[in-house]
Amino acid sequence: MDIESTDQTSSTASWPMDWRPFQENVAWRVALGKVIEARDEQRLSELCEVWMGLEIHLRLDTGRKLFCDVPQGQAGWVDMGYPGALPSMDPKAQALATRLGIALGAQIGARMGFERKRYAYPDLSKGYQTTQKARCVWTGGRIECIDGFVMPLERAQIEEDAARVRRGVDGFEMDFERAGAPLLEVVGACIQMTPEQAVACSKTLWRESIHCAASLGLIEEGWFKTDINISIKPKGAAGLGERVEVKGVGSFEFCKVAAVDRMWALAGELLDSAPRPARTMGFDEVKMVCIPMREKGQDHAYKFLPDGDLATREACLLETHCSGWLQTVEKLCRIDQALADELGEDPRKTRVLSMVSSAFWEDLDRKPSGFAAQALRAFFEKMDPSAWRADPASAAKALQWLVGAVDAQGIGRALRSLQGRAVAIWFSTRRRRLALRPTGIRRWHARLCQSEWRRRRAGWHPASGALLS
Amino acid sequence: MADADPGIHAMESLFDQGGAVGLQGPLAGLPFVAKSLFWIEGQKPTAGSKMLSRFRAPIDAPVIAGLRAAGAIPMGYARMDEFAMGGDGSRCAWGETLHPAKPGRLPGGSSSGSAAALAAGMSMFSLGSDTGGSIRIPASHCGLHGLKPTYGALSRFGMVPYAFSLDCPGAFAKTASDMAWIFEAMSSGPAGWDERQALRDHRGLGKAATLEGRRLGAMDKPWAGVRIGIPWRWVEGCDQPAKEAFASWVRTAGDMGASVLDLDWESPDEAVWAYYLLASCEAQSSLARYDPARLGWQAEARSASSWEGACRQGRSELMGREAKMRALMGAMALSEPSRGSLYAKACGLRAALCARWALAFESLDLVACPTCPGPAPWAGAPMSEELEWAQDRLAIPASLGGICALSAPWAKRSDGFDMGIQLCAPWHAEHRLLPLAIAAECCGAY
Repeated sequence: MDIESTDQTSSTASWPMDWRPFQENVAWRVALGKVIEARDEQRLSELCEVWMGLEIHLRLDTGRKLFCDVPQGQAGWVDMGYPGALPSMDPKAQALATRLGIALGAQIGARMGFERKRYAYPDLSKGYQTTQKARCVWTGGRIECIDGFVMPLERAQIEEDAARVRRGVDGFEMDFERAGAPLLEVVGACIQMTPEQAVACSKTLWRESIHCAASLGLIEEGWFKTDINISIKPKGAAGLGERVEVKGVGSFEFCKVAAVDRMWALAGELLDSAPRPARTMGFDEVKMVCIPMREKGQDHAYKFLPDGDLATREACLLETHCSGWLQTVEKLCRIDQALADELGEDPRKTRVLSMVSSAFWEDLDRKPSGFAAQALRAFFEKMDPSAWRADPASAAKALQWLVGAVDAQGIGRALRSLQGRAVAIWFSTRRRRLALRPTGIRRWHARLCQSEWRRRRAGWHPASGALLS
Repeated sequence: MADADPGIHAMESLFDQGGAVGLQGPLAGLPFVAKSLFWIEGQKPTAGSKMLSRFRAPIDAPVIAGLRAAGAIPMGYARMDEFAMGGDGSRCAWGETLHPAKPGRLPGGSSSGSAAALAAGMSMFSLGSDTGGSIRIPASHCGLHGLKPTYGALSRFGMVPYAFSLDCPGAFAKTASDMAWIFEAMSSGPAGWDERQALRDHRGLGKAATLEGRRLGAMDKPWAGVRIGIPWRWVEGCDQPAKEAFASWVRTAGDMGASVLDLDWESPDEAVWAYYLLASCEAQSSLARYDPARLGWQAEARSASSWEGACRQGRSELMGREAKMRALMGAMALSEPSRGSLYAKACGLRAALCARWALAFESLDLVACPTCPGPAPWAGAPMSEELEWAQDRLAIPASLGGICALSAPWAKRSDGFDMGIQLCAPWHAEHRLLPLAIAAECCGAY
């Protein structure tokens, strides 16, 4: 069920007709009351269905702002909303997003374009947020958790972060430090799942984004934030109740707390005489509770306009995106697992892994048959799952060396001495489906270029071409 | 300059010229004024609005940088209609600009000050911007050459935005050959600056166009073989002197060897509607960023109780009626119940118009019509509605299509007013358009 469609019922202030038999059934009410009192999730699932949809914002590790060539942490003219400053889109953001999309089995959009999303709030320096709507970077795809749970994805959009607004002594203080930072918003389908599964999906995506070197995944610094949409209905009834959205939840632990909290609150509301409208909440990380932000009705105040300052861009498919390099993601995945075993919850782990993977990817993107490629191939060719299983200690030792080498010598040296070391890492035999075959892509890309060329020859207005297609 | 301005009010601010003046390049030492929406380092481009009066430009816009590199010297900012919205020059927050030659009349807008300053001899050329005729109309009323280049031919970076899919930086000049050199300098700003926004590099155009124009001008029939289409239906809304003057221009073009053809093009009313819708929606988006508290009005904003209150109060006080009206129209068009479908429809109309232009230019080199339907408007008296419509029908098809258009002076109105002939050429055909204009000038057609 599409989560948007629940908006249709927002104006009616009574429960749907086919929910009434449940709510007028005294036994059902009593049972639900008891379940809520006992916080028994098992029995809740017998009485109600909990549907959740995740929207995950992860910051892309491009090293600059999305539309302005200034380092992260600084603000450019576009980020500050200077009248007359024009954006120039960072192609690396598209490359990173595409890479993550392919790792998740998504369909890469042939062309992507940006929209201006207008709403009135002081954190928007330009008065609108530049985001994607109709022509996203990719659609579809799925998150596969280790336990086999699968969450289908709807789409992902590249967008810019807003400024931070603090309330000072006399009025507002605007902090443009993260304004314009490149974000990828991954929108999951709204499906029936438990808070644990939602957190597992979120965590899987976080790992995946690090493996692809799309993001550094620094949760404490706000690189990864989850919005949880949650909605509930009596089991067997049609339709969904009004949703509650908890916005910008930082860590996985908070995600779980927020989801469980709202799930029980919504279950309690099923016993009320009338439904409450859809609403948006925030999460107080100190008190560990959800705090109300606004009624969702204001969503209709969004105004979208195609952004003509940014040309539509064709799909960015490097050779490293589609040929054998998907396997690299899988292999980095295994390094990660091994690191987790070796270092436990060592905070260095994320940083080390993201450094290693971004070094790999950078070299691979630059030179598909260059040094890193050869090193990787040699490195993984010697990988022998059975040997690993037989002698975990050797693998652990090798990994320790890897971490030490990265720490002490920097990435270049570590990569160079990777060659020849036989570190066997084999945890899962999951194969990821290839979304696209390399030859097909090349042909398809050529066709796209041709059609674009034809359009230009026909004398199309550059702006109308950009805005219409 | 300061002596010439008082009767005209063309200038908004004059720059202090410190440091050495470049004496290199094709425009060495030529002073110019810019419409006050171009970024010039350290200056205050107000876009004719109180809202931006405390905004200081951080760098030169690429078009300004290109002109500086060619040796030209920016002298000051010229007045303009607020945020380039308006057609006569009366909607500037700092007061209206007057026509330098016709007392009591307006020079046309929105690049009103640029045109008036050049016509009054206060500069050697001037910069303007054209969204829906903002360069061509004042050029026509002031007897100047005004070029609206192809959309995207010059970088829009460093230009306070009005409508992103229609805005074109351009220039006013006394002669067509000046225009060729100015256009070349504007298009060859610093390399790698903003490569996506300027779609073509026109380096060498000035020299090539001048040589080609002189070569053609020396010939007996300089426009031999040029096919000119005349959309007679568009001309119907013009007043009698304009019609007569245009007919005489058509005869002159025929004398210069051009083959004049009738272009059967119905009145472009749909284009005008689409234009107003697109421009309003985009203006809404462009104006959304003006938060008074962030533009130097903190003290004023502090008295309001909330951020929304401060915005509402500041915008009501600091913005003109026209800007507010267009922003509100755009907001309505993008809101419920249409939610952007009106905008998409207008884009469809634009695509149809572009296809129409492409079809016309398959068999034609130029499309010509008068730039303005009547004389320069009176100050303090609004233009009649019919004349405004006639004006839009003449100016907007070229804007909406994004093609290049030059308004060349044609001082043949029987009542003594200046008028211009609008020459429209296909996308990125400035290198064809300018030599033809230069040739016509060389053989004394103007």
